[in-house]
Amino acid sequence: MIEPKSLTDEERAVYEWQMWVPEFGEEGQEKLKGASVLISRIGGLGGVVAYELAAAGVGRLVLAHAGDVKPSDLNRQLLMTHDGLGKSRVESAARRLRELNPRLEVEAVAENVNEDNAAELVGSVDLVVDCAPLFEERFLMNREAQAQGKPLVECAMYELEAQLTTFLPGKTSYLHELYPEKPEWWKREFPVFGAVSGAVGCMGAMEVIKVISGIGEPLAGELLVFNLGEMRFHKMKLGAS
Amino acid sequence: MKVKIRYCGQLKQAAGCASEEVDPGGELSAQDLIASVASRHGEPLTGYLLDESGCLRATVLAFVNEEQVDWETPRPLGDGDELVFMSAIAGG
Repeated sequence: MIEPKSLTDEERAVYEWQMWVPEFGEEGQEKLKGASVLISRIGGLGGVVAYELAAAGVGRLVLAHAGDVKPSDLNRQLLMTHDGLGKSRVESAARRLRELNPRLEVEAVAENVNEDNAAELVGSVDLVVDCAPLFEERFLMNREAQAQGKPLVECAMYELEAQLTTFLPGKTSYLHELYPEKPEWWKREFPVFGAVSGAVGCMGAMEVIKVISGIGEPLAGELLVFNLGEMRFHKMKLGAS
Repeated sequence: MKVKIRYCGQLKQAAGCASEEVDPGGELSAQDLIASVASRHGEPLTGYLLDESGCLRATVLAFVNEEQVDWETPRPLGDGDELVFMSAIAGG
Protein backbone atom coordinates (compact mmCIF):
# COMPACT_ATOMS: atom_id res chain seq x y z
CA MET A 1 0.00 0.00 0.00
CA ILE A 2 1.53 3.28 -1.09
CA GLU A 3 1.43 6.08 1.47
CA PRO A 4 0.86 9.39 -0.36
CA LYS A 5 3.20 12.24 0.58
CA SER A 6 2.09 15.86 0.61
CA LEU A 7 3.65 18.23 -1.92
CA THR A 8 5.77 21.30 -1.36
CA ASP A 9 5.02 24.54 -3.20
CA GLU A 10 8.03 23.87 -5.45
CA GLU A 11 6.62 20.46 -6.38
CA ARG A 12 3.21 21.94 -7.11
CA ALA A 13 4.91 24.35 -9.52
CA VAL A 14 6.96 21.60 -11.22
CA TYR A 15 4.08 19.13 -11.64
CA GLU A 16 1.34 21.69 -12.31
CA TRP A 17 0.73 20.67 -15.94
CA GLN A 18 0.41 16.94 -15.28
CA MET A 19 -1.84 17.60 -12.27
CA TRP A 20 -4.27 19.11 -14.81
CA VAL A 21 -4.82 15.60 -16.21
CA PRO A 22 -8.40 14.64 -15.30
CA GLU A 23 -8.65 12.20 -12.37
CA PHE A 24 -4.93 12.61 -11.56
CA GLY A 25 -4.66 15.95 -9.77
CA GLU A 26 -2.70 16.63 -6.60
CA GLU A 27 -3.89 13.34 -5.11
CA GLY A 28 -2.23 11.38 -7.94
CA GLN A 29 0.95 13.40 -7.60
CA GLU A 30 1.09 12.68 -3.87
CA LYS A 31 0.86 8.96 -4.65
CA LEU A 32 3.78 9.21 -7.09
CA LYS A 33 5.82 11.05 -4.49
CA GLY A 34 5.10 8.33 -1.94
CA ALA A 35 6.00 5.50 -4.33
CA SER A 36 9.19 3.54 -4.87
CA VAL A 37 10.06 1.66 -8.08
CA LEU A 38 12.77 -0.87 -8.93
CA ILE A 39 14.06 -0.70 -12.50
CA SER A 40 16.11 -3.68 -13.51
CA ARG A 41 18.76 -2.47 -15.95
CA ILE A 42 18.80 1.12 -16.99
CA GLY A 43 19.95 0.75 -20.59
CA GLY A 44 18.06 1.76 -23.71
CA LEU A 45 14.75 0.73 -22.24
CA GLY A 46 15.07 1.04 -18.47
CA GLY A 47 16.99 4.31 -18.71
CA VAL A 48 14.03 5.92 -20.44
CA VAL A 49 11.61 4.43 -17.89
CA ALA A 50 13.77 5.91 -15.12
CA TYR A 51 14.03 9.30 -16.80
CA GLU A 52 10.26 9.58 -17.32
CA LEU A 53 9.52 8.48 -13.76
CA ALA A 54 12.07 10.92 -12.34
CA ALA A 55 10.49 13.70 -14.41
CA ALA A 56 6.99 12.68 -13.30
CA GLY A 57 7.93 12.89 -9.63
CA VAL A 58 8.11 9.30 -8.38
CA GLY A 59 9.66 9.63 -4.93
CA ARG A 60 12.27 6.86 -4.94
CA LEU A 61 13.93 4.84 -7.70
CA VAL A 62 16.10 1.77 -7.17
CA LEU A 63 18.31 1.15 -10.21
CA ALA A 64 19.99 -2.24 -10.65
CA HIS A 65 22.59 -2.56 -13.39
CA ALA A 66 26.15 -3.88 -13.30
CA GLY A 67 29.10 -2.79 -15.40
CA ASP A 68 30.61 0.29 -16.98
CA VAL A 69 29.53 2.42 -19.93
CA LYS A 70 30.74 1.08 -23.31
CA PRO A 71 30.74 2.82 -26.71
CA SER A 72 28.05 0.44 -27.98
CA ASP A 73 25.69 1.64 -25.20
CA LEU A 74 25.55 5.18 -26.53
CA ASN A 75 23.13 4.63 -29.43
CA ARG A 76 20.26 4.07 -27.00
CA GLN A 77 21.21 4.38 -23.31
CA LEU A 78 20.14 7.98 -22.85
CA LEU A 79 21.30 8.25 -19.23
CA MET A 80 24.89 7.55 -20.33
CA THR A 81 27.23 10.11 -21.82
CA HIS A 82 30.42 10.01 -23.86
CA ASP A 83 32.49 11.35 -21.00
CA GLY A 84 31.15 8.53 -18.81
CA LEU A 85 32.80 5.82 -20.94
CA GLY A 86 34.53 3.28 -18.72
CA LYS A 87 32.68 4.51 -15.62
CA SER A 88 29.84 2.87 -13.70
CA ARG A 89 26.56 2.78 -15.64
CA VAL A 90 24.41 3.03 -12.59
CA GLU A 91 26.35 5.99 -11.17
CA SER A 92 26.08 7.81 -14.50
CA ALA A 93 22.37 7.16 -14.50
CA ALA A 94 21.87 8.32 -10.91
CA ARG A 95 23.76 11.55 -11.66
CA ARG A 96 21.64 12.32 -14.73
CA LEU A 97 18.43 11.63 -12.85
CA ARG A 98 19.41 13.91 -9.96
CA GLU A 99 20.22 16.66 -12.46
CA LEU A 100 16.69 16.33 -13.79
CA ASN A 101 15.03 16.00 -10.39
CA PRO A 102 17.11 16.92 -7.33
CA ARG A 103 14.22 15.92 -5.06
CA LEU A 104 14.41 12.32 -6.30
CA GLU A 105 15.76 9.65 -3.97
CA VAL A 106 17.94 7.32 -6.06
CA GLU A 107 19.47 4.07 -4.90
CA ALA A 108 22.15 2.94 -7.36
CA VAL A 109 22.86 -0.80 -7.13
CA ALA A 110 25.84 -1.79 -9.28
CA GLU A 111 24.59 -5.35 -9.71
CA ASN A 112 22.16 -7.07 -12.02
CA VAL A 113 19.24 -8.87 -10.42
CA ASN A 114 20.39 -12.32 -9.30
CA GLU A 115 19.46 -15.14 -6.93
CA ASP A 116 21.21 -13.39 -4.03
CA ASN A 117 19.65 -9.95 -4.32
CA ALA A 118 16.26 -10.46 -6.04
CA ALA A 119 14.14 -10.88 -2.91
CA GLU A 120 15.66 -7.88 -1.16
CA LEU A 121 15.51 -5.59 -4.21
CA VAL A 122 11.90 -6.46 -4.99
CA GLY A 123 11.01 -6.23 -1.30
CA SER A 124 12.41 -2.71 -1.06
CA VAL A 125 9.92 -1.14 -3.51
CA ASP A 126 6.22 -0.84 -4.32
CA LEU A 127 6.49 -1.80 -7.99
CA VAL A 128 9.01 -3.40 -10.36
CA VAL A 129 9.84 -2.56 -13.97
CA ASP A 130 11.52 -5.38 -15.87
CA CYS A 131 13.88 -4.15 -18.58
CA ALA A 132 16.51 -6.90 -18.34
CA PRO A 133 18.08 -8.43 -21.46
CA LEU A 134 18.29 -11.95 -20.03
CA PHE A 135 15.39 -14.26 -19.26
CA GLU A 136 17.11 -15.58 -16.13
CA GLU A 137 16.83 -12.10 -14.58
CA ARG A 138 13.29 -11.62 -15.84
CA PHE A 139 12.05 -14.90 -14.39
CA LEU A 140 13.70 -14.17 -11.03
CA MET A 141 12.11 -10.74 -10.75
CA ASN A 142 8.72 -12.05 -11.82
CA ARG A 143 8.78 -14.89 -9.31
CA GLU A 144 9.76 -12.50 -6.52
CA ALA A 145 7.22 -9.87 -7.51
CA GLN A 146 4.46 -12.46 -7.62
CA ALA A 147 5.53 -14.02 -4.30
CA GLN A 148 5.66 -10.61 -2.62
CA GLY A 149 2.42 -9.35 -4.19
CA LYS A 150 4.07 -6.54 -6.17
CA PRO A 151 2.91 -5.26 -9.57
CA LEU A 152 5.43 -5.68 -12.37
CA VAL A 153 5.60 -3.82 -15.68
CA GLU A 154 7.16 -6.06 -18.33
CA CYS A 155 8.89 -4.25 -21.18
CA ALA A 156 10.68 -6.00 -24.06
CA MET A 157 11.88 -5.19 -27.54
CA TYR A 158 13.70 -6.77 -30.46
CA GLU A 159 14.74 -5.03 -33.68
CA LEU A 160 11.79 -2.76 -34.57
CA GLU A 161 9.25 -4.62 -32.45
CA ALA A 162 8.23 -4.33 -28.81
CA GLN A 163 5.98 -6.03 -26.26
CA LEU A 164 4.51 -4.47 -23.12
CA THR A 165 2.22 -5.77 -20.41
CA THR A 166 1.53 -5.25 -16.71
CA PHE A 167 1.29 -8.07 -14.21
CA LEU A 168 -0.91 -7.40 -11.18
CA PRO A 169 -0.87 -9.60 -8.06
CA GLY A 170 -3.94 -11.81 -7.78
CA LYS A 171 -5.32 -10.53 -11.08
CA THR A 172 -2.99 -11.67 -13.87
CA SER A 173 -0.39 -14.31 -14.55
CA TYR A 174 3.29 -13.32 -14.45
CA LEU A 175 6.01 -13.83 -17.06
CA HIS A 176 7.01 -17.37 -16.05
CA GLU A 177 3.39 -18.42 -16.52
CA LEU A 178 3.09 -16.70 -19.88
CA TYR A 179 6.41 -18.12 -21.14
CA PRO A 180 7.26 -21.09 -18.88
CA GLU A 181 10.65 -21.58 -20.53
CA LYS A 182 13.55 -19.45 -21.62
CA PRO A 183 13.90 -19.44 -25.43
CA GLU A 184 17.15 -21.15 -26.30
CA TRP A 185 17.61 -18.91 -29.32
CA TRP A 186 17.63 -15.63 -27.34
CA LYS A 187 21.03 -13.91 -27.41
CA ARG A 188 22.40 -11.36 -24.95
CA GLU A 189 23.08 -8.93 -27.82
CA PHE A 190 20.25 -8.02 -30.14
CA PRO A 191 19.45 -5.54 -32.93
CA VAL A 192 18.16 -2.26 -31.48
CA PHE A 193 17.50 1.37 -32.31
CA GLY A 194 17.27 3.72 -29.33
CA ALA A 195 14.02 5.12 -30.71
CA VAL A 196 12.41 1.67 -30.37
CA SER A 197 13.68 0.90 -26.86
CA GLY A 198 12.87 4.48 -25.87
CA ALA A 199 9.31 4.22 -27.20
CA VAL A 200 8.50 1.15 -25.14
CA GLY A 201 10.32 2.75 -22.19
CA CYS A 202 7.98 5.76 -22.28
CA MET A 203 4.97 3.47 -22.48
CA GLY A 204 6.30 1.36 -19.60
CA ALA A 205 6.68 4.50 -17.49
CA MET A 206 3.07 5.39 -18.25
CA GLU A 207 2.00 1.93 -17.05
CA VAL A 208 3.81 2.61 -13.76
CA ILE A 209 2.11 6.00 -13.37
CA LYS A 210 -1.30 4.43 -14.04
CA VAL A 211 -0.82 1.59 -11.56
CA ILE A 212 0.43 3.92 -8.81
CA SER A 213 -2.09 6.71 -9.29
CA GLY A 214 -5.10 4.65 -10.34
CA ILE A 215 -5.81 6.61 -13.52
CA GLY A 216 -6.51 4.97 -16.87
CA GLU A 217 -6.41 1.23 -17.54
CA PRO A 218 -3.14 -0.68 -17.21
CA LEU A 219 -2.38 -3.45 -19.69
CA ALA A 220 -3.51 -6.15 -17.26
CA GLY A 221 -4.26 -9.39 -19.14
CA GLU A 222 -3.33 -7.72 -22.41
CA LEU A 223 -0.09 -7.62 -24.35
CA LEU A 224 0.59 -4.49 -26.35
CA VAL A 225 2.60 -5.47 -29.40
CA PHE A 226 3.95 -2.92 -31.80
CA ASN A 227 6.15 -2.79 -34.84
CA LEU A 228 7.65 0.63 -35.52
CA GLY A 229 8.83 -0.54 -38.95
CA GLU A 230 5.19 -0.70 -40.05
CA MET A 231 3.75 1.56 -37.29
CA ARG A 232 1.42 -1.33 -36.45
CA PHE A 233 -0.02 -1.46 -32.89
CA HIS A 234 -2.13 -4.33 -31.46
CA LYS A 235 -3.49 -5.18 -28.04
CA MET A 236 -3.52 -8.97 -27.71
CA LYS A 237 -5.79 -10.64 -25.16
CA LEU A 238 -3.85 -13.03 -22.94
CA GLY A 239 -5.32 -16.24 -21.56
CA ALA A 240 -7.14 -19.19 -23.07
CA SER A 241 -9.73 -18.33 -25.70
CA MET B 1 -11.08 -19.80 -46.98
CA LYS B 2 -8.14 -17.44 -46.53
CA VAL B 3 -6.17 -17.04 -43.28
CA LYS B 4 -3.45 -14.44 -42.81
CA ILE B 5 -0.41 -15.47 -40.80
CA ARG B 6 1.98 -12.96 -39.21
CA TYR B 7 5.33 -13.76 -37.63
CA CYS B 8 6.81 -11.52 -34.92
CA GLY B 9 10.25 -11.27 -33.34
CA GLN B 10 12.78 -13.89 -34.34
CA LEU B 11 10.08 -16.04 -35.92
CA LYS B 12 10.08 -13.63 -38.85
CA GLN B 13 13.63 -14.60 -39.76
CA ALA B 14 12.89 -18.29 -39.19
CA ALA B 15 9.85 -18.13 -41.50
CA GLY B 16 11.67 -16.04 -44.08
CA CYS B 17 8.73 -13.62 -44.25
CA ALA B 18 6.81 -11.25 -41.98
CA SER B 19 3.42 -12.47 -43.14
CA GLU B 20 1.71 -14.77 -45.61
CA GLU B 21 -1.80 -15.69 -46.65
CA VAL B 22 -2.80 -19.33 -46.82
CA ASP B 23 -5.85 -21.25 -47.97
CA PRO B 24 -6.19 -24.25 -45.65
CA GLY B 25 -8.56 -25.83 -48.18
CA GLY B 26 -11.35 -26.57 -45.73
CA GLU B 27 -12.36 -26.30 -42.11
CA LEU B 28 -9.37 -26.38 -39.85
CA SER B 29 -8.46 -25.48 -36.28
CA ALA B 30 -5.67 -23.08 -35.39
CA GLN B 31 -3.78 -26.04 -33.94
CA ASP B 32 -4.04 -27.96 -37.24
CA LEU B 33 -2.93 -24.91 -39.20
CA ILE B 34 0.06 -24.37 -36.89
CA ALA B 35 1.18 -27.97 -37.47
CA SER B 36 0.63 -27.57 -41.21
CA VAL B 37 2.60 -24.29 -41.33
CA ALA B 38 5.49 -25.89 -39.43
CA SER B 39 5.50 -28.87 -41.77
CA ARG B 40 5.37 -26.73 -44.92
CA HIS B 41 8.18 -24.38 -43.82
CA GLY B 42 10.39 -27.08 -42.29
CA GLU B 43 13.46 -26.02 -40.34
CA PRO B 44 14.31 -23.68 -38.80
CA LEU B 45 10.69 -22.58 -38.30
CA THR B 46 9.48 -26.01 -37.16
CA GLY B 47 12.01 -26.05 -34.32
CA TYR B 48 10.99 -22.57 -33.24
CA LEU B 49 7.24 -23.35 -33.22
CA LEU B 50 6.90 -26.93 -32.06
CA ASP B 51 8.47 -29.01 -29.35
CA GLU B 52 9.51 -32.67 -29.65
CA SER B 53 5.94 -33.86 -29.08
CA GLY B 54 4.54 -31.57 -31.78
CA CYS B 55 2.97 -29.08 -29.36
CA LEU B 56 3.41 -25.32 -29.53
CA ARG B 57 6.62 -24.41 -27.74
CA ALA B 58 6.35 -22.75 -24.31
CA THR B 59 8.42 -19.86 -25.67
CA VAL B 60 5.90 -18.98 -28.39
CA LEU B 61 2.45 -17.43 -28.12
CA ALA B 62 -0.18 -17.86 -30.83
CA PHE B 63 -3.15 -15.54 -31.27
CA VAL B 64 -6.20 -15.68 -33.53
CA ASN B 65 -7.78 -12.30 -34.10
CA GLU B 66 -5.80 -10.88 -31.14
CA GLU B 67 -6.92 -13.59 -28.68
CA GLN B 68 -4.40 -16.07 -27.32
CA VAL B 69 -4.82 -19.66 -28.47
CA ASP B 70 -4.86 -22.33 -25.78
CA TRP B 71 -3.11 -25.31 -27.34
CA GLU B 72 -5.39 -27.76 -25.49
CA THR B 73 -8.60 -26.17 -26.79
CA PRO B 74 -9.23 -26.52 -30.54
CA ARG B 75 -9.81 -23.06 -32.01
CA PRO B 76 -11.85 -23.21 -35.25
CA LEU B 77 -10.70 -20.84 -38.01
CA GLY B 78 -12.90 -18.85 -40.36
CA ASP B 79 -12.38 -16.93 -43.56
CA GLY B 80 -10.40 -13.73 -42.96
CA ASP B 81 -8.99 -14.79 -39.59
CA GLU B 82 -5.50 -13.66 -38.66
CA LEU B 83 -3.08 -16.03 -36.90
CA VAL B 84 -0.15 -14.33 -35.19
CA PHE B 85 2.94 -16.06 -33.82
CA MET B 86 4.98 -14.25 -31.22
CA SER B 87 8.25 -15.32 -29.67
CA ALA B 88 9.43 -14.31 -26.23
CA ILE B 89 11.80 -11.34 -26.44
CA ALA B 90 13.79 -9.62 -23.72
CA GLY B 91 15.65 -6.82 -25.31
CA GLY B 92 16.26 -3.71 -23.37
